[in-house]
Amino acid sequence: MNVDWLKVPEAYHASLPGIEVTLHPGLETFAKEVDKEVPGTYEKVLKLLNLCHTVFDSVNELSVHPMSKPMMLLKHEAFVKTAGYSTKEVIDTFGLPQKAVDLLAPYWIYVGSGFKDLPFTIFSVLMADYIGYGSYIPRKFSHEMSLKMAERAEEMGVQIEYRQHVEKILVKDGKVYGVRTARGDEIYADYVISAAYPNKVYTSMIEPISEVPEKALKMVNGRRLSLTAFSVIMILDKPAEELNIHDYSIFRGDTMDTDELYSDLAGLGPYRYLTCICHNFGNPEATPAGTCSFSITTLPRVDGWKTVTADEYDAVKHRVAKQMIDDMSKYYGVNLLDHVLEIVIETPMTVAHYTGMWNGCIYGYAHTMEDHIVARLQTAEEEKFIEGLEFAGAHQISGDGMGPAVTNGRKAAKNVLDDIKKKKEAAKA
Amino acid sequence: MKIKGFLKDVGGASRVTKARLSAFETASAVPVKEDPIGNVAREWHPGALELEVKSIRPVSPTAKTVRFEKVGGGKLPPFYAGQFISLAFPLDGHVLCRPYSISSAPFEARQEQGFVEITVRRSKGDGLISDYINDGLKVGDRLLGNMGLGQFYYEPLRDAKRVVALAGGVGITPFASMAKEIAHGTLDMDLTILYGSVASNDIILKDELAALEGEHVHVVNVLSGDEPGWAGERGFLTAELIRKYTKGDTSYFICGPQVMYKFLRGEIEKLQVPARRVRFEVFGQAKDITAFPGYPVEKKDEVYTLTVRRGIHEDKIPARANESLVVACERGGILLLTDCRSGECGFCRTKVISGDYYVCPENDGRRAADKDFHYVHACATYPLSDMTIKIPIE
Repeated sequence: MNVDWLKVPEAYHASLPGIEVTLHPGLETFAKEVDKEVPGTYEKVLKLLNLCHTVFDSVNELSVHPMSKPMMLLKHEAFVKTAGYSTKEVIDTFGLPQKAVDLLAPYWIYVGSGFKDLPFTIFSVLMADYIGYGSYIPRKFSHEMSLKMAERAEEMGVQIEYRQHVEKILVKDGKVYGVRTARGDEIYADYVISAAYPNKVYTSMIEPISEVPEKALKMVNGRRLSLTAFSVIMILDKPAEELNIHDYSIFRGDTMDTDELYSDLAGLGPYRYLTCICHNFGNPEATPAGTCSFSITTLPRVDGWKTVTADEYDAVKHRVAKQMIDDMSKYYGVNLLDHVLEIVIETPMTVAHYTGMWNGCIYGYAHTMEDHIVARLQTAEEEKFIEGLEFAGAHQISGDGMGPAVTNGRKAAKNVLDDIKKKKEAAKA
Repeated sequence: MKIKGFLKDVGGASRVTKARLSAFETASAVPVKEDPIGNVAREWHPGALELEVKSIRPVSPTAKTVRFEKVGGGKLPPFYAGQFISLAFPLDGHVLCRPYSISSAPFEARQEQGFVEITVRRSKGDGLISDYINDGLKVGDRLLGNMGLGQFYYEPLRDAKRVVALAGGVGITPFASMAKEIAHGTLDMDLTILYGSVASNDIILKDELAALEGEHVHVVNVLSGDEPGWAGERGFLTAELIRKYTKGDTSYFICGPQVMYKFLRGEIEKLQVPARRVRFEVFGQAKDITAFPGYPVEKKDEVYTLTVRRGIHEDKIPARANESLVVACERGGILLLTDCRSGECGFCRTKVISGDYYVCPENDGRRAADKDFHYVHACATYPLSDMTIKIPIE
């Protein structure tokens, strides 16, 4: 699959209390730039980033080649020894000044938990991936990537039928035997991979519902849904520079205390931490000449949005969107509202409408110390409650994000293929 | 390396696993089915609704307003004044979808016994469904409708609070909806409608609009015909006339027949207003595709074979070079649902497996990546050879 990738020039611009700086990818480059802001931190920051990188490599290897605990300790010491700690606990051991920690924190929103909750393992993967290698975007937007994946799958013999709403997953004697769609088609299969959340599957899709074991319900009830999305996407009628926009990605917050910000995300705004993207800095041809695209995003928890009714929805949506635009207008010293050619407001409800995802959630289950990726890996086998039923999506082991989405999907496919192989071999014997 | 001490460090993985399992052990086993965010999404966009015709009334010598309620009653989905509904008409055993701007107001849909209205003019012989609505549709008839569609509405974060609407013929309908919502006090904007008609007895919704006249709603009828005794504005919606009714920062919303679009593009240009202040409603199916640049006129009378794949099923139907793939499917009795029929919404997105085609430049809403892989919007695509396409199973 050949995606036309464009490299994003910087990691991000951080706009935080007392901080106004653009940082770039590459572990050493990044550490040097942090050192410029907070002199004397180079060695420690680099050491922390290298630790992240080591853990990241271990995660990649261990997700493909599981090994015994003593072997793991021998070969993946850093991974093993940090696994039981939160991001805050590990970072604290480095004794970095708060400002340096703040400069390392902006990407937290892409994994969606405050540092007291967030497993260091996940922080490592995030930092090694984004800071170590930098970011890339497809020239023809995310649609290029999803479309090329679909095309490649079809080339390899996959049949894709769009707009078919799967209502039921058919189960007998603890084993999947197919699905039923909204128009009444029954499609029989030995394996079903569900992108729908386990919450939806185990509460209303399995037929008969008596096939759902109590343990499956306890599992979904024992987990916390992570973040959804609220984005204001605009096409503005001037080139970015004329509107004082100078970076691809801007993180703006009135604090960098991730635990405090996480609590804030449970409400309905004004949101205190915003992520902005100006696509034109990654791809100058993203919009027609003389215009630019600018989006402002917050990733709220589902809690607040669950309370909004259909009749209040439009007013809440516009209030939140306006607060976000006003905040960024103040920052740039330009009233962005005077330049809107097109605007689209995407809410948790929009996500629910177009993807059908449970409560509009895009991040799956929160990465916490009680729902740790290492624990998820350890107990994966025991959480297969129905034979032949696999899941793919942010609600699986690796959680949210483009890379993890691919890992999660691969894992589901591998489970199916391994099982087919095992059964074939058993039949031979 | 050391975080807190060797034993504590190496015990981390077991510790977090225990924590996770114990969280599950103590969790409730009662199924929680509630998806309130999804419910709001479904309340706004429930998909196909079963609707019943409640009344049909003439609103000009050539136009009728049809009122629909939900079968079984109750509220209809919220929508923005200016949006359209796509209705599926069962005709001669085929299903034909058509979009109509909703001429009633959003607040009327949200009443306990909600309703939506469309206002349709009898055609000059080329509007199969428009004529069916005017002459064939009866009170009590039932059909499916999908509503709250389209981008033609007042967006306070983008548009000037003062809107001058430029309407022609049946293009008055989205503005009728806006005017009603403003008069009801639930839409905060100022609307001046410049409404072009040929003759005074041909003004659609004349009395209803006149009744809405107030502080925030103004209706100016402009007659192009030579009508003695008419005291109001005359002629076309020229730049000069538009300027006369413009006060300060203004957005221009345009909805009307295709010939009017061409004329008004020129007039709007003379006003020299920023691009963000001008919004055209979508174009609709091109009346004459052969008039567009790049269309191979020599092929216009050809009839090709269109192979339509749905799942593993295949049908072959004739397809005329001067009609869109959607029309070919409708003629051939193949159900291909549409919403906007203007290439914008992507609801009829179709994969071209093989064959040559032409896309109407006015209605080319394809995404960049889709072009590379021959995904088209069937409502805006015309066959130029035998073709094979794949459409969703409905």
